[in-house]
Amino acid sequence: MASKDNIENLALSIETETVTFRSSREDWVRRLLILMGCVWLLVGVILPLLEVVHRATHRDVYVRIEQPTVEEMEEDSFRGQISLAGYTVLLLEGDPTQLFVNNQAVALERGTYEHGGLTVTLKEGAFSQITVTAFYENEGELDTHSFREIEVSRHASGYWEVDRRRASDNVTAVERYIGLRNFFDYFGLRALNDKTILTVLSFVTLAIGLVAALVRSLWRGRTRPDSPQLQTFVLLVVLGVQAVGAVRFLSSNLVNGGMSQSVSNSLCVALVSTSLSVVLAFGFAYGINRTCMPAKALFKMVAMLPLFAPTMLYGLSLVYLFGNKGVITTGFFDRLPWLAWDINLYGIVGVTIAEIVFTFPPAFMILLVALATTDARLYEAADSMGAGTFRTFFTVTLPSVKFGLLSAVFVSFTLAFTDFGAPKVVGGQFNVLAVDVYKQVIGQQNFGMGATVSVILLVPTVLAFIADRIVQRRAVATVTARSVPYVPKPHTVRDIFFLTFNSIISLGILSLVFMAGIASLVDMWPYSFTNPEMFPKTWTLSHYSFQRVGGGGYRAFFNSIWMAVLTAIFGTLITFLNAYLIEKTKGMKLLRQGGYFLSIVPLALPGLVIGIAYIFFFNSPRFNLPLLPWTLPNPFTFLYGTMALLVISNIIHFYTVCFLTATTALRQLDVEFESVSESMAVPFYRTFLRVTVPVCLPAMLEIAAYYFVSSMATVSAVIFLYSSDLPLASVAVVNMDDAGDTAPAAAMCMLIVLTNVLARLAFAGSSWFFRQKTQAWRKR
Amino acid sequence: MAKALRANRSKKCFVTEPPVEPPATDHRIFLEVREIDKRFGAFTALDNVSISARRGEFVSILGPSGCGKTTMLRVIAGLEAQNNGTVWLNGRDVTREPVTKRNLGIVFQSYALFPNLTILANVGYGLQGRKSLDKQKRSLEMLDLVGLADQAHKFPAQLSGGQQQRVALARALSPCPELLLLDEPLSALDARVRVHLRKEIRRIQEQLGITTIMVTHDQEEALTMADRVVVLNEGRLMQFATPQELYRKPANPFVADFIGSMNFIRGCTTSGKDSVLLDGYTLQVDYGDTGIREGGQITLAIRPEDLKVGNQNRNKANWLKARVQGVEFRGAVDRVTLDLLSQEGVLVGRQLYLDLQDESAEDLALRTGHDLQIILPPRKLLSFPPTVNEDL
Repeated sequence: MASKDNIENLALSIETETVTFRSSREDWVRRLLILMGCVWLLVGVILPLLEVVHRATHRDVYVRIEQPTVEEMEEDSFRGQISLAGYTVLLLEGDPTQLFVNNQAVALERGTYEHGGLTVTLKEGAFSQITVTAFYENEGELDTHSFREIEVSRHASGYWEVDRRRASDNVTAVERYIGLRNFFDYFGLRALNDKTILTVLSFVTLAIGLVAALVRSLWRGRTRPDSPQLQTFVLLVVLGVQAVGAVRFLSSNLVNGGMSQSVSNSLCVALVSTSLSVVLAFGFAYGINRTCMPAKALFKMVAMLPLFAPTMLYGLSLVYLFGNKGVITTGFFDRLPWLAWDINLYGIVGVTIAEIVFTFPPAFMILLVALATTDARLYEAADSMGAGTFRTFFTVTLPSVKFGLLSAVFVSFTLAFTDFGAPKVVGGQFNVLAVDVYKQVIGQQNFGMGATVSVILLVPTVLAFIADRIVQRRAVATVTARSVPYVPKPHTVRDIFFLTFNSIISLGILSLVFMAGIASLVDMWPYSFTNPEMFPKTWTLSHYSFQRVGGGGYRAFFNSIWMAVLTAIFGTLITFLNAYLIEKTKGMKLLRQGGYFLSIVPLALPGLVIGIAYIFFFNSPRFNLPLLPWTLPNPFTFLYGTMALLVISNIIHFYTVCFLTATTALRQLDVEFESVSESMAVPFYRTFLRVTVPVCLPAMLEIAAYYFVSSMATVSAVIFLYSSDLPLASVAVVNMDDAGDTAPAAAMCMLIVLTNVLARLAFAGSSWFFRQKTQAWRKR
Repeated sequence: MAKALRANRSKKCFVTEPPVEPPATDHRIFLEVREIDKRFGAFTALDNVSISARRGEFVSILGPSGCGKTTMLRVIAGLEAQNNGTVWLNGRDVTREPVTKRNLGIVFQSYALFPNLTILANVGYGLQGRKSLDKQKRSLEMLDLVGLADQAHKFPAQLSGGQQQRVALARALSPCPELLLLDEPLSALDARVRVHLRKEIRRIQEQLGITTIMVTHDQEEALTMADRVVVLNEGRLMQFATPQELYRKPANPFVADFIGSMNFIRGCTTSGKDSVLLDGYTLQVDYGDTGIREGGQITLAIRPEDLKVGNQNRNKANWLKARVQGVEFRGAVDRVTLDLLSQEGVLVGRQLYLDLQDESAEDLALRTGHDLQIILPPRKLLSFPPTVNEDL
């Protein structure tokens, strides 16, 4: 139907003479509500993100002014010291007055000293004015990054001014734009200056453009065999030349390795675990959807299990299995020495295994849906034309799930790339970006660098997100006819093969989820097994008391539950209402498109980035507007350190998935419900409450369950936002593990898993109860 | 405003008593839609369409799919904002009024019944602000009108398609709208139920005397139910007339072809005031005021049932020689496909269809290859200017 506007299509047609209806009071209420939804997402997503970018590209320059009092001046020769941007400028009395810059005596020229970005002017044997335009770097080396001049000068009435404003007594901080300097610092490209940065940026842009052109020409070559191959070849050659140039440039400019190792580590872990996880998930889903093996429901449940646990759990389980004193490393404590196998857990191996388990459930879910919606008629056609098993697989099965496969790859990549929990526990010396963010912010309190690493973390994530959106849009376009579901026929060899395959994977998942649980019941791992004479008590519940360990114990646990409950309630209400307004309102196209876009954005944001963005945004008394010179007072700072902010961060973190669930549920309702009630002059909120909500209640329960379970297990966003008054269970796991209390950490993980399983069952039960009650009006 | 509206809605409307004035004699225009333009981006859905309906009249909007008929209905309802043009209800300009303020009832193609409410609650949905006893009485009254009072406590999913359709009608009628809009109300039903419901809807409409606009792509539905029919094609108004006029005097080849079946004879040349030359034959035609000049090209059209089989011996006017190419049994009629022959008995490469109603092909002993004479009665011959819809 042409009259339905597809809000995902941002094409706006400007009509000149369209008749506009008079707006009723209800219309204004709707408009206001949608506007509020947009504001909520702006404050929850966009403004904090802008703050991150601001912090990554700005640095505080501290100015410290020390002046002797009159009595002190008589005592010694000290006449003042000013420290700023790494320079220390000291003035001692003498004849003539002696000036020291960074402990080196320097000569004055007509009362002025100039070197690098520093200018010192003296008057009457005292500082008169000091300006600086660059940071002091290593000795003898001039810093090539300059920033807008900072001027420190003495006012006529005796006090000091920094940037024309009266300086405080002790230390004054002045914020300066430093461009991409932090990024180059992170990658160890110290010798760069502004000019080379420009060159580098233009080359990077060129390279991206060339890669895009290459991909496009390869794509076209695949779809259109007659397209010229020469173009592809030329592009390859140009790219090759660029790559050689880039290597030469890097090798000449790289002062030290910086922390860039983390980037390649993160990419490596994400790529390896994504490919393995998607392949395994595909096999698993294929077994469930395309064979006649038994216990399919059980396998499905096991595959979902990792969703209930914080990612630290897999790390802990791996430590108990393959760690230095792990069950398998020690060959069941030397009882089965032939089994002993050290896989060098700490590092890339451990992180990758944990990420595979972590990314398995979403990949599996996406692929199961993709396989289930394939058209059986295609298989019948392939069969009737005599295609063999393998030919059918490559010509029918793979093409029909390719969008699902791509989506699974993007989702898994994003999750593995940005995960923090597992590498924190088993990473050891193996640094990844997510842990770097944590270390910069929590360990070194270097917020600027934390913001920088977050932005680096965002780049591949946002690219994956954009690619996924493009793929999904294409996928929608290809689903046309109503397909016939595929019903597998029994085939002994295949069924047994997949039964074995799925059993092995399920066993792996179960062991990674519950190994830590078993270990948390052991009194003293591993001595209860190796030295039973010293530790006679093997099994105990004492680790579940959380006595004598940090993290907050049961207080943290109940805080987490309370947070999850609040997130579920408010998250469901906000998400569903927003989805309703965006989906079921006529007109107001711009607002709705804006709202839809803002609702999709959180999917691209890793929890860590949300966390760090919230620290910045909800902590600063004024916030900066992009590209504008002035700032606005921030009315939201009162939220900092409260439960409300934790709940908001969780709602935003998991917003998109829930929003899309709600949108799907709403799209299944008749498009004319709103028109019918409008034609009968029934206000929209009445229809919303009497019809829309009751019909969509199962979907709302699903959303609430997702919010609850995810909030219980998440650590990435909340680790920056919890306060000592508000300890949280998942943060407690990290802290206990940091302190070496592995067994209580495992115990806390198990509590989280159990709570989530129980909550999920409760939600499933209430959903079932509701369906039973309303069976009369639900079709079949 | 809302209060006035409510008062307006709760005006007494007739359920069992006949209307004060029979609708057919009330010639006051109730609905008028003037010069509507509607575009969706580059696509023109409606192009300068004007229609009207008298009080109590049943007007049907007919056309092939994608012709803009549903858009027209949505513009009348106020669910879609037009680019140009005005809508008048009862002498009031409602162009800028939203659907809420137009006091109309709509039955959608999908019925859009609320699945979680009972039939009674569905019908009473628009009766807010009334006492619950009043509301129930009115709802039951409406259900009684559509003959579903005994189903009041069921849910929509428990009813058949035809019953759901009638519930939707009762719901639309219960707040006493002044105008009823039906969007393909019968298209989702099977043929038997459809025929029955056509009469039902018409009966209820006449009983309430409510002005009704119905959109349909089914010409039989439009012709049997409506007082007047609007034919739309590609967003343009083709003809707005009574069903009889549409069938007997189609304004253009599109309507002629769209309503019923029609033989088109192209490439005829006019000669004299009332005769036409066709492959050596001279035919008498009454093309009166179509503005066709002598010696010009002309397209003739005649319905298959208007062709007559002539007697070989008697030389009547407007006879043509033809050869039977095939006979198709169609139940009530036999359709004969004919190849036209010249006077010398040579094939001229034209085909005509002939419907035999009074006597069957067997009675006339028509067989493939059989030659016969057909007669084109002058009064039944339609004439159109050439080159219009040459692809038909």
